[in-house]
Amino acid sequence: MAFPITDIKDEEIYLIMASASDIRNKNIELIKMLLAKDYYVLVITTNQPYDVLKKNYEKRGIAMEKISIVDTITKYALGHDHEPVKNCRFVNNPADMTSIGIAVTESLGELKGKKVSMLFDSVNSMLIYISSQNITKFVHFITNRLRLLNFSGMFLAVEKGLDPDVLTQLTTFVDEVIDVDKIPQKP
Amino acid sequence: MDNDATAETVHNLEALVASLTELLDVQEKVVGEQSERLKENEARFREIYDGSNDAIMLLTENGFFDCNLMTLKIFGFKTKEELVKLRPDEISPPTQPDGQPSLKSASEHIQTAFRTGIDRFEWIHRRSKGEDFPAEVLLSAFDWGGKRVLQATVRDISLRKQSEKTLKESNDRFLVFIKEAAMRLKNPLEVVEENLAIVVNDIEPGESEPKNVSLQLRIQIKNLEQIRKNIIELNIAIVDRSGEMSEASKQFLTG
Repeated sequence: MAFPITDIKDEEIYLIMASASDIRNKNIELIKMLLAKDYYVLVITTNQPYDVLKKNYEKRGIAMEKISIVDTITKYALGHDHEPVKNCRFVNNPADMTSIGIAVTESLGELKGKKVSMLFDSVNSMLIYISSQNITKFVHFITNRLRLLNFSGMFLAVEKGLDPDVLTQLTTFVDEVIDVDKIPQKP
Repeated sequence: MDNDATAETVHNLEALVASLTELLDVQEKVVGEQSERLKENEARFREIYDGSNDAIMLLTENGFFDCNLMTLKIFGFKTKEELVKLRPDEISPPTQPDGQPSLKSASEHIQTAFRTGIDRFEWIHRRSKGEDFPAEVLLSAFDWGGKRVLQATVRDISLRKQSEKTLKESNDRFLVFIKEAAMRLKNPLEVVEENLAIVVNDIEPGESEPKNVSLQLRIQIKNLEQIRKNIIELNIAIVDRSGEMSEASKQFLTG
């Protein structure tokens, strides 16, 4: 499949592999592509804080109206609450999977009935805080939620940073794995 | 024959009888001593045979005909008669771990031992109450009472196998841990490296607000703190596995 992905299916879930240096750009490209296809997007960020994400999106002309965010890192880094933001849920700690799970469930619930895709950025940064076993459980949990609601989803990951056994497990939860580094780039 | 000659003959005969009696006494004494030694040897052999920590069974091609006390204990029989009426495959599960029927496999090992004089192998035996246990079996052939017999020495290696299994599981867990640790060190450092590069790239053209730069740097500090914790966790596992390490080294790695 070419990247940016042009023929994503409404209810499919993808694992998108990119190089570490390209992850931020891929986040933006995917958001643009999803919004262009009239998706509402739920971003689960474990690496870039909400304020930085918002600024980057706006800088690239991406409107925030159809974007919801679960931010697992800002509150942890600041050591205190972020001022409330309408379209963002701040979770205390990136290792607190229960709170993340609740925030994701609530956010997806709010989007019920709409054309929704989730973007998880990224598996690798979450690995700083939780074990691969828990990552696998978490991805399984999220994919189940998405499938129940007939939503699509994308998990961003850096292939070279993952143990092949973990990667194999993750691929069993998704419909397709897209390695953007292996896709010929347009001149 | 005159009286003197008769007396001499009688004397000689008496001397001969005395000599023969003496000789018989000596022979009786020697036989007695030999018999005593044989009894001692037999008792010593029996002591070794019955005092062995291994099950020792004697068998011909027709089956068992004797065993030591440990055999009864290991296999859970009350008397030797209970054992000798069974075939080797009847104190084993129907099949061995390689999938071969015990009957066929036992027969092959016995034939090998009779042919070559010795056969050593691992085997799964079954106790009288149905519990299986791993064993190391040594079959040695020798001549006894004019016939060829086998001595089967069976050593219960359940504990050794359990230790090997525990060690393997421990090694497997450690390998999994090492792989996990490697992934959770190499990968996060790359994440931090890229994040810092992004911050620098944003600062240089003056695109970043100080508040956001500060937040991004705080996140990288938190990431590095967690990576340090992950390294210490790995070091603790290494120290736990390494018996020969100075206290100073242990403290350095885990502190």
